[in-house]
Amino acid sequence: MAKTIGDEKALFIFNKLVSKTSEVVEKVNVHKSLYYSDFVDDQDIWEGSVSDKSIQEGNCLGERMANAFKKGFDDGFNRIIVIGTDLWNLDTQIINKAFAALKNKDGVIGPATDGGYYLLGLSKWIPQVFDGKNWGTSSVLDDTLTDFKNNTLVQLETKNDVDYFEDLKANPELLQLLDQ
Amino acid sequence: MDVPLELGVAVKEVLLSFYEKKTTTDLYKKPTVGKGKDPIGKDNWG
Repeated sequence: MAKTIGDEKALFIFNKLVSKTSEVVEKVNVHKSLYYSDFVDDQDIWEGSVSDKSIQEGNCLGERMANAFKKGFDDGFNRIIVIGTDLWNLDTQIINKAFAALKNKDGVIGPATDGGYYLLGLSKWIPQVFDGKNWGTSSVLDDTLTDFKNNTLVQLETKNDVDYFEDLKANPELLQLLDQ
Repeated sequence: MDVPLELGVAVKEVLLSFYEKKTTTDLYKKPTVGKGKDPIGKDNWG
């Protein structure tokens, strides 16, 4: 995206996505853990939105998510859902729907139009969903669905996450913010 | 935060948000990955 619209505007869009995600997360009535990629910032927009803050641990995204899920189950949580910060169409309804699905299913997944996913939830530890993926490619969703073949899974509606300038066209409200 | 009770048993739910804090410098340094374009996040989930 930065290559298309420049660094400043790309960062502006990124921060809008983060802000939107923070607002949605704040309204969800469960325990909320924020996992930073590099360092914990105690004074950012997430203050008040989340219950606790940690740093992601692992060498790749799969390892980092696996460690976070494992910690969640070890801490006694029964239903765990992970989201990123690149979905403009995220809302509390979809997250609540995902938690509801985990009441009687092993997993829940929100497919993204680019072949990845915007949400993943588990009600039991299924380590293979985090292994052997080519993260950042369009094979992630299909490979993850294959990992659920011996478990029960609910698929949510497909949504368009925002990684590239082309993705802004599917989110006109976000695109308009660039012109303000 | 409410802890739901199901069949008299407390059920604990947690929402994990994965966040990569960025600056314009991060964007400038980011290598091209994935489908030959430059995503916002280096850990695009697909």
